[in-house]
Amino acid sequence: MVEKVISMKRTILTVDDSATVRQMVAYALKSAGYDVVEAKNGEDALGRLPSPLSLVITDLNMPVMNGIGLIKALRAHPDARYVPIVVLTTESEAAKKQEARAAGATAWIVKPFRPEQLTAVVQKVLG
Amino acid sequence: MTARRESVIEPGQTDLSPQAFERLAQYITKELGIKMPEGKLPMVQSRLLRRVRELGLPSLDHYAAYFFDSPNQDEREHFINSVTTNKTDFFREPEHFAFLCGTVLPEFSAGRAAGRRFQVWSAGCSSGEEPYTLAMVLAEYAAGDAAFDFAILATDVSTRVLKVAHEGVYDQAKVLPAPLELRRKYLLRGRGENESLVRVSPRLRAKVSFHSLNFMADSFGIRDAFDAVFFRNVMIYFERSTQEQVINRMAKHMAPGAYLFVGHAESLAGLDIPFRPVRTSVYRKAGGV
Amino acid sequence: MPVRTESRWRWLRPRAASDGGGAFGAGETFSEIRRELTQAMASTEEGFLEAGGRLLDLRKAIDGAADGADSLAGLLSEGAGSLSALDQALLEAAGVSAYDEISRLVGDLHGRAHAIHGAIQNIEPIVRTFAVLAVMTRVESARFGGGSAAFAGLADSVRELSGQIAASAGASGASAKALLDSAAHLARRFKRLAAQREQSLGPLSRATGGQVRRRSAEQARVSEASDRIAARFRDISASAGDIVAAMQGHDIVRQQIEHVLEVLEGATAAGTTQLEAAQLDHSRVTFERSVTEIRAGLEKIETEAGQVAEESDRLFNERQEGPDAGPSQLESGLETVAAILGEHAAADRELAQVAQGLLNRLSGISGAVASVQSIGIEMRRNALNAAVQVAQLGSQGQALETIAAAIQALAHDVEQLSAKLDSESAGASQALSDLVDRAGEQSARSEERFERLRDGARRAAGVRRSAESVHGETKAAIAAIRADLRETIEAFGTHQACLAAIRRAGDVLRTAAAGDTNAGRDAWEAARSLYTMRSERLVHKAMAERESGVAVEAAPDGDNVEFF
Ligand SMILES: C[S@@+](CC[C@H](N)C(=O)[O-])C[C@H]1O[C@@H](n2cnc3c(N)ncnc32)[C@H](O)[C@@H]1O
Repeated sequence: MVEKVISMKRTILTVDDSATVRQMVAYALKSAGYDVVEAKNGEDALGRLPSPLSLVITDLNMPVMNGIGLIKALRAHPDARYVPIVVLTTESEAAKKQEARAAGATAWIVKPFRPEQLTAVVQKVLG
Repeated sequence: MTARRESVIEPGQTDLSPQAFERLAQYITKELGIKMPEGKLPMVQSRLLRRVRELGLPSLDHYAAYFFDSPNQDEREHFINSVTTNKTDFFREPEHFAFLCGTVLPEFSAGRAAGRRFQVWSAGCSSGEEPYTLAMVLAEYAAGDAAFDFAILATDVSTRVLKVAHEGVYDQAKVLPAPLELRRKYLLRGRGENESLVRVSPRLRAKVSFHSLNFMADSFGIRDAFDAVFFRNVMIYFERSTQEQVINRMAKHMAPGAYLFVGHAESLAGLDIPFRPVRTSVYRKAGGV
Repeated sequence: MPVRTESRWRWLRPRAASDGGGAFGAGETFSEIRRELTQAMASTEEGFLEAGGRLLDLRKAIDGAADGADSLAGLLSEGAGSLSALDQALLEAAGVSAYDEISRLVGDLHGRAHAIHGAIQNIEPIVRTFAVLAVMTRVESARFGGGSAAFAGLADSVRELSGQIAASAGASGASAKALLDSAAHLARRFKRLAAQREQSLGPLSRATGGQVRRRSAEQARVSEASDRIAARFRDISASAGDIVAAMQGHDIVRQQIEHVLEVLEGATAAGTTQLEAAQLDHSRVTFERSVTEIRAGLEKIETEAGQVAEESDRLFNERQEGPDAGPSQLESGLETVAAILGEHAAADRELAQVAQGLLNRLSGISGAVASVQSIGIEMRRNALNAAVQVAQLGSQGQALETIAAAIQALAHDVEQLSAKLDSESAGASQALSDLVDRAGEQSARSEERFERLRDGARRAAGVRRSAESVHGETKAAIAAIRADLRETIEAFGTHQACLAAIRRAGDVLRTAAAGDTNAGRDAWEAARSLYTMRSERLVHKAMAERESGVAVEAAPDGDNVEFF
């Protein structure tokens, strides 16, 4: 008999140097029933990868390790290779988008986002 | 009395009578294990309507009568194709692929008997997105481990989706969830009028074999012992007792310590089956480790 | 807060681009601007975070209030449903027609008991006459000496049989009296109950029924309104999305300012100072708008939550103050009707029992009546024999002939009387067994209605109490939300200093820009490559306009979500 029940909640890692943005991402995702882990920048994120990890939402411009660096690191990490990565940024320049895409990002959202927009993207990506 | 115009479905004729629905529902549950509460009536109606038009029948109730009177089994296939839910995606529930590549495969590589292939079964594969996703992930892993080889069995009860799966042709938009790098490596872009389409590369297609299989069958006719089974978003439509039966039958075709992946909305808690939970929606067969 | 005067900034001068030291060689001033702006952004973030932190709690509370309103709606619509079932029970309770038949049966029984009693009483004089005839028979027969044995036998049998009739009649006479008394009592009692039913239960049930209908309609109305209120709460909760979007303004502005600072720090920035000043103006406007939107969003939630709370309060109080629909009145009305019904059920049960008892007594009378009848027949036969023998005596037996004829006639009367008794007691027996059935049924029905109404009264009270408590909880929750919100809005006022800092920095740059007009190509490019955010497209537009000298359209916003 299968007795132990493991939490069905999915964990999402949000990476942003702005505490306000992290707070708003957490707000939107927690309201939608996800668990959220916050990190201040790419390096911080790599140091606290939750397991299992369902999705990463990351900013691009961050000190220490920026978003592109983080995407590349995640893509090289066996546990995170296929974790979808959503870029959440103020940037909208085509070149930056291309860079993130090539590094292995899954989707791109320009700030400011509305909570329902973010959760719609997350749901679509997680299937 | 006004004469009935042939093969035109009048507004009132789009409704199945409760008796006809009951009969069809019982048939579906018996043949496919899929539970059909009354709430599914509108769904069944809308799905069968197309078939009713194709056949030029005047109403859904006529279809029910036609279906049960048909001497041969031809209509059965159409019927099954109509009533199954086939929603699927590339990299759907991506956590599973991360776990596969981060934990399951390295573990297999470390403990494998020489020459043994990693065997995966995509059970309820729908239109192929799941087995092809597996194929990409496994091919990627193989690229980093020369000794690693794999084979994928993909089965479904619906012949319609199996045909699509076998073709391996998809809309561009459909493959977006797959990482860009993998798309570049494993998908071919359509030309000319097929510009909006992609096709899974022959090399990858060769790794997947598609077969028709009904989980309600007493025997699956499978000889392999799988190392991982992806049985996702199928049993959600089954009764608890059917889930238990099917998983127990499936377990017979799994190696000791093999992994079972189920959908995130599915839980095996409370079922009497030889598996223990490993993490969200991942289970492991007893024995082995 | 330190007040900065113009004089502190006056010596600021941009260097020529050729100096290679960036736009601001006067590093101290630049670092002052940098420090002030950075600090301003950091300190405002605290206010943003505090407001943001409230948001999740807020949403939970508002969703909770919506759930409360939802459950209230469910509770009340269920209540309304069970109340209309009660209305039916009351309607039935008010109807007295079910008693018509019982009433008829009781009347019938009473009539028959009367007839039986009368008939049995009529036997007495007959028995007395028999006794006289028996004596006369013996006297007359003595005159004939030995040949008159037959007459002596007749005299004996008349005496004996009339004695038997007297005994039977005597015994059933007492039963008949008791039957009559009981029937009369039953009839009186039943009449009293019927009157009570007519006078109190009927009007009371009808009145209570009216209240029940009103309450049910009221509950249905409040239930619908609660549904609407729940929907409004959910709308309010969703409108927090505006705040979420506005909150991110802080991050956007912070980055805009960082870009300005980076440009200013860069070696090639000279000549674009005007642009940086404009960018800061833009940042200030963006920041101010964010703050205004957050405030407005919070205020809007506060106001709307207040409105909805008021609406729900009004709805709830109105319901309680409705004319004669006071909560306890309805419930006590129901209780009273139930109690009366309970009494009636008991009375009906008793009626059935009494009728059953009478039925037993009646069977005793019937036995006696049957024996009287057979005695009558035998006596007539004897009298007939005697008449035949008298005929053989010829004229001598005239007196005896007369006596025999009288006995015969009397015996006939006995037969008729006993036949009448027989049919009356059969009728009475039928009436009684019908009465047992009907009264039994009726008591079961009353019993069931009694249960239903008492249950209904309890449920109605339960619904009212839970509705009151849910309403109370929701009300308290909303009050708490509003208090929190007001506090948050109060506290969210630390941005003035930040705006002032951005404005001052902009002014400084504008002043500096006066002597900084000729930007080189690479200065433009450097600036362009830094201002890459969507919110900075205005900068690009300004650049393009500066370069070409004509007005340029800013690029459209486009979709902000893209899948790769
Ligand atoms: C919703 S799809 C899931 C596809 C894929 N596994 C995924 O998770 O994306 C469910 C599939 O199960 C198949 N199915 C349903 N009942 C079945 C049965 N009794 N035997 C075999 N396949 C069945 C349906 O035809 C359908 O394609």
